[in-house]
Amino acid sequence: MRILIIEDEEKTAAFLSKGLKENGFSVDAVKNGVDGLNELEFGGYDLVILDVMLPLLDGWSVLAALRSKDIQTRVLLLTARDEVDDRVKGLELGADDYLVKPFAFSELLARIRTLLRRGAVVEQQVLKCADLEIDTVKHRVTRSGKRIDLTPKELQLLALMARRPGEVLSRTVIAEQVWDMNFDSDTNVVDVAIRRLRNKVDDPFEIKLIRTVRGVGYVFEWNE
Amino acid sequence: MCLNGMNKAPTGLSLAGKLAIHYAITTFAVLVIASGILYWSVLDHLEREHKHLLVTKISDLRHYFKTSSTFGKELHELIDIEHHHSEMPHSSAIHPGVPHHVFVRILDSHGELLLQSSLKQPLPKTLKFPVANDIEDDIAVIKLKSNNNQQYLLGSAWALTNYQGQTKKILLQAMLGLAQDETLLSEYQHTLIGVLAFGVLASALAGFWITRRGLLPLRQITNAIQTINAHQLNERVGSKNWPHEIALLADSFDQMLARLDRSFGQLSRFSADLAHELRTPINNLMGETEVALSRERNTEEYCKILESNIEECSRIARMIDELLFLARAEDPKTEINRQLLSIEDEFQTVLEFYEGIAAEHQLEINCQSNQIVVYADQRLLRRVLTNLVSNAIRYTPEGGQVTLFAETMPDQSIKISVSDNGIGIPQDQIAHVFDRFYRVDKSRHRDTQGTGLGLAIVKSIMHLHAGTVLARNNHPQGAVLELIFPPSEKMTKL
Repeated sequence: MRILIIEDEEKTAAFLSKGLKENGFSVDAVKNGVDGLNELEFGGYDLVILDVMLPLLDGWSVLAALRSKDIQTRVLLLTARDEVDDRVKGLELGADDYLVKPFAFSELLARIRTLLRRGAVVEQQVLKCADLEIDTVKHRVTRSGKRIDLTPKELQLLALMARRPGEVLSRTVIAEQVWDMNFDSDTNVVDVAIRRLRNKVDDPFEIKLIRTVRGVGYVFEWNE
Repeated sequence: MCLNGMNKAPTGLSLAGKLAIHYAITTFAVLVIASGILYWSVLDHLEREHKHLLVTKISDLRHYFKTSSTFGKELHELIDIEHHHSEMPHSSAIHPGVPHHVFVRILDSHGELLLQSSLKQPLPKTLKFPVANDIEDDIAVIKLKSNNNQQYLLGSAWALTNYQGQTKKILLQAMLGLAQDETLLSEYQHTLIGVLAFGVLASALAGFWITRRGLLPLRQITNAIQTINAHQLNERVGSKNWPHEIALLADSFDQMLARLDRSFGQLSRFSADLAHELRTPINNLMGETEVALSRERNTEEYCKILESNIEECSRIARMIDELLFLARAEDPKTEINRQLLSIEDEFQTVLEFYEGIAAEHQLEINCQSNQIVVYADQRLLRRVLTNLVSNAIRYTPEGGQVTLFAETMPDQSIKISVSDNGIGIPQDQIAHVFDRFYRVDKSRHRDTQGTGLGLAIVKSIMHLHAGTVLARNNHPQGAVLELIFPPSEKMTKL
């Protein structure tokens, strides 16, 4: 998957490139809107990370030019401004998503993954990871054939992680997806919930499935 | 802030000018009506007086002829023949001293002139006496305008006299010139017009002067207000002895100044608090990073430092988000997305969110929603509830209880309360718990995640819903936070 970063702030561009490369994307970065538009016209990018405040040609104009030329590369807008009008304007101009600085990198990664697999998701009824099996319809969880009793929210949390193995999920994303708390809520709650889930799902077994990424969030992965 | 920037050249007529014009118009109308009435009453009175004069003369003659048939000296006196200078002319009651000469002539039944008053001026040619009615006691009177534009009053009547044993009819005609009255009336008109003009002018000038004098305190208060700028918000204008109306204005202005003063104070305190609150995490970031870089360390140590750094960064990011939220909530244009929400569902969501923490702290969270529905923004309501529950959990020791309760008040407003049996709020600090960056336990905040903005956000969310929030202590222990959502049409329709 090829991603173009159009961002004039060097540090931002640098950590985005580094992070995305380490997560398996092929990344190019340019520093202004005109160069960005040129790169995009040659094509071949699956997604562009577009800063709104840019020299020469701002993000809005790049976006508008892109859509007027009928180039349907997915666009993720980055901005330090968080006005509702801006958000609406971005989406109206044809942006696919909108992220406000400061953002957690894991959040950005999650959004990029969602954008790239948009439309291609078929939710599996039964999820299998290592010796764990989750039946989301029957609400049954077993590990090595042993039945594990989970509360509905614990099951939802486990299923969320199992569906996105290898992806670091931030506390904010987890709170949003599991409890429908669409704001920066008490993230302590997520830590406690994960701890209680580990008690039931990981602690009694040899293979640990939930790994803490310190300061960032949690990831579901295991070594076979 | 530059208050002088608000000075604008006054547009339109001054208040004094406007009032002067109004005074002049009113005076004009009143004077016109009054002098009209006066004029017409004088006119009417004169006319009646003259008619009376004429009729009396004819009646006198009639009476004379009834008793005497001689055209003697007495008659001459009566009809004013020139050589009798002893006669006192009749004078009008309206303008005493000015004689009115009644010209009289006496004709026989065939129209032959028998006798007439001596003429002081020639009779007008077109003079036509009215035809006398053949009824006893009747006197015909008309008013005529001659061709030289003079007005006359003319009267005719039959009289009976006993002449040599026979009863004879004679015609009595009398004439009264009204030239003098016309002169008088036209003089009167001129006087009235003069009075009118003077009155209008005088009242306009007086109006202008009175208004200017009356508005003097307004100019004074304007001067007083102009001297106040953003740095002197503690000054007041109401201390002077203003007239009643201006005192009200001065008082309102002082109240506004007080509010501004408070807001400015809050703003500068808030900026100071903000700087302080940012200083702490940034100091940690700088210090930790500097110490870390001062010598070689192993990976584990680096990771720990980075982890700590990201925690501080998250804290700052969170603070920025919350401050922006507060700023936006204060914008009166902010709109919220209200819908009818089952409080039961919202309580359950919050309960599920905190079930893990409650279990770890061995806390019991109860809720009773009484099947109430509230018209609110779901996202914001959840934010309020999680903030309150999270606070309650923070200040309640193990084994305690947190209770969510909803009820409909007598006035149809909806009250949601979150109570706990924890340490409660110190009585002297209750008034401040909704202030930004306020923490009851100042030493404790570093080990909790709070930014000190939670309750300020609760308050601003309730403000967005036109509702209120209040904090009090519970009996025998713990704190209660009550949210009041005002009655809504949407809810009463249910």
